[in-house]
Amino acid sequence: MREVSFLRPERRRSREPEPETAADALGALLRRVARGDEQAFEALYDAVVGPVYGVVLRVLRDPAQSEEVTQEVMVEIWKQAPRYDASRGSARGWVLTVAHRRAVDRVRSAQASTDREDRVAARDTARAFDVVSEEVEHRLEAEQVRRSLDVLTDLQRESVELAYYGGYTHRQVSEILGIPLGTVKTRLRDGLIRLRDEMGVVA
Amino acid sequence: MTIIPPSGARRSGEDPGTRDLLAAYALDAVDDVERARVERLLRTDADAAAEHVTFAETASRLAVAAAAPAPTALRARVLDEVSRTRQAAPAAASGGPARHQRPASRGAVRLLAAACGVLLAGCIGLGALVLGGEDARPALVAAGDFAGGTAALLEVDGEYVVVGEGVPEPAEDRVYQLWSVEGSADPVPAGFLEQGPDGSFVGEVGDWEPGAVLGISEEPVGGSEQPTSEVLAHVET
Repeated sequence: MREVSFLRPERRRSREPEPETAADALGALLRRVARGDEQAFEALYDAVVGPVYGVVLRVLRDPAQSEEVTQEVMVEIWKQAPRYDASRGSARGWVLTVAHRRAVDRVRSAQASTDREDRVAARDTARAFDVVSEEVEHRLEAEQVRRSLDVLTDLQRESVELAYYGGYTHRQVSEILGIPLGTVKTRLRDGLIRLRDEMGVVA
Repeated sequence: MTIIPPSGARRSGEDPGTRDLLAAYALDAVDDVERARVERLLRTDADAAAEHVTFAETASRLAVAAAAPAPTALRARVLDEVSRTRQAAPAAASGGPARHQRPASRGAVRLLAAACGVLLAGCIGLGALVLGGEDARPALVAAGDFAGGTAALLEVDGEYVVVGEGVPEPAEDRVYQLWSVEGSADPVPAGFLEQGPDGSFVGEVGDWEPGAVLGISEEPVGGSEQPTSEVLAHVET
């Protein structure tokens, strides 16, 4: 039962610190966007559209749908920028949370009518994460995240990837893997705590 | 049968089950009802909210790892739409003047409406199904445990709908009946739950006032004047 870890790994502070200036720059851009600055929005678009499109595509897999959802997400960011609250997370984190959730909502609303079909495909989706495109501009950080994922046990990683990249609920993950719901919750929680500590994320 | 009065609301920080969902929530791996429960916890428990920020940041880096070049034509389309799109007003400062009667409850509805508006895809579908209108944007008013699953109370334009998820079918010749309970008064019949196309139970609530407790029990087909069996759910608002 290697995946059940009750010990929190020692927090590795600023091992590879997030480039503060980039994060600040994005927050500053978002504040300008909140005031209706379209030029700032263009810069924000260029800074985040890669991860936004990438994560939407990872969840939905269909490029045409992903493009559509990415457009919805970016327009939503424009609309909601005046309501962004910096005390509840970084600007980039907020944008990507909106993007991932929109992708997952799209998957689930489609599921409501068609009923879940191809579960094997979802495993492939999760597995496909191993192949991170070389051309992406966020290559360095992607590399860092991938290394962080290596600290997870295979079982933790499988659950985290099915949930996040597969867009499944923890209940569905438990069905797919044929393991109890409680075990999935533990894997997700322990996995995310390990990732957080490995990445040096602090509140 | 025990009915919990609305005043017996749980205090914050007393919901370890929901707290355990923070990681799944940050990964968007919770269903609509769980999502609402977590969001309620995040509004009332600063400690949980702080932990959530770190989880959300961690999850967002998983998105960065998936970055891919977006189609180039998309940029012009987005910028064009943005130039034609009005931005939202900033979130209202706390304690606005328009508040009257049951401020906590109405505030919760508003907050959840903002959070749920674009997010509760399942609820939107169900709400639209029940209440009609494609633009229906239900707000989650409250949620509670129900027969091993969860019951959620949704509001759309002053109408209320109950959705039960993960709930077993009632025994043969039995139905799920809704009850409205105000204070110590006897429960008042408030409609029935029917099984929707996706397996969850849905029912429009009649004769129910915001602030009352909503009860659900299993009754003979046709319903009862008063609950004749254990009340399976108390949804407090």
